[in-house]
Amino acid sequence: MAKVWVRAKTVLNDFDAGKLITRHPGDWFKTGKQQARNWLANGQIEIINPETIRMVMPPSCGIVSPVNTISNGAIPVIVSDYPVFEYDRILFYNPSIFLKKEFIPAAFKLLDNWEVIVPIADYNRLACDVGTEEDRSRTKEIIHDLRVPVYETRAMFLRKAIATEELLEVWKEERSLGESEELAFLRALYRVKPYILALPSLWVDSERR
Amino acid sequence: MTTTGAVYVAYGESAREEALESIASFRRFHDLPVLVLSDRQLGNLATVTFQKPGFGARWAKLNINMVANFDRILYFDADTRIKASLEPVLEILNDFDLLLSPSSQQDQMLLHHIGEEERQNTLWEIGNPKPVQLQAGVMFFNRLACFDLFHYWRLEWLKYKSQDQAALLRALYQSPVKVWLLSQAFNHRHGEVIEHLFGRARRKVNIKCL
Repeated sequence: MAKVWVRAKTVLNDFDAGKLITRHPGDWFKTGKQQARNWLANGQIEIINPETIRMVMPPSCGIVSPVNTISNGAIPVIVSDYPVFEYDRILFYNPSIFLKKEFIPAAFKLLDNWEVIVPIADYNRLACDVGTEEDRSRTKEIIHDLRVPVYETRAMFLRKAIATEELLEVWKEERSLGESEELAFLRALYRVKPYILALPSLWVDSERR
Repeated sequence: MTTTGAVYVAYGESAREEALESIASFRRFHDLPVLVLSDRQLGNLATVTFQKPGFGARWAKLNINMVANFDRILYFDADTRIKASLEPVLEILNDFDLLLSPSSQQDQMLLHHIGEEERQNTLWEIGNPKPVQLQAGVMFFNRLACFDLFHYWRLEWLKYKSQDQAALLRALYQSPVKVWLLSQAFNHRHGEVIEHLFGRARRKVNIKCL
């Protein structure tokens, strides 16, 4: 089985050639990809080598951001204020919020099954709580009920597809019709109906809003 | 014409009592047909005596799409109370396949109520280290669009035969549908549209397991 280089962030019990070896924070070692995914998902390791990251992530992934801030060289960054499909899979990320970086490879992989992956902003932040009266009125006409969560569009994963290209067009149009980006996104989601996977709000750090 | 109906699963005396109260609350707002899967006939209600309902009657719940012949199914746990009209939900069901709310158990409490083995295997299989846990005690869906989803949900549930939330996550991963997330207003102890009185249907349960 192919192995990848990882660096331990916590104490880990690793098996190498049948022997139990304790890895300490900072240790570099090779491990199987499946084990690496598991540890990576739990934040117990980091994978810094760009070549290694590409081995656990799908091809053609990129980050679209208004600022070139979060790249470590492993994932290319396109500077743009709005999502663009320069790659088949993009993370549209505004660094005004904090996105847990260790989850990024998993989300790119999840785009195998979903077209849009986006965190819920806050379980108690609903469409009826945001925007102007006009925004909410227009939104309710489209989505029928405002008692739904809004999404954190500053950290959104998208796979290039007919639905997502349309979503971005419609979102742009809806943004021009109101003040709330969140409500504009909800209206666009409803109008286009892509396959969307909601993520828990803990994927982003709301305190850095 | 598209048919819509409410479906309940109620096994045991407590669950049947709770279901009757829930149905009464539903009737204050809607005149739609109601079907109950139970271990005995419930008054004049259309009832299916589904044999071997499984742990917590979950096997019965996961077969509601096979038993209820409605195009659109409004599923309610027996211990719910409908507090407001569901007309918006019926509109949304014209456009999306599955409507349900996130559970109030997220983050550190994610899937805390299921066995560790199933929890870890679920997170691994769905490739998502931190998913949103969904609360399937209230769900509204298009039966045809969710046919495959329920098929996989049953297969996944049979692996552990325990709770159903983790099995749902695994099933959604295998058979994605168009989900429109509702808030906890539609499924919460203090939900303003649907109140969920968790646990009330489980008193004095005596059901046969699968």
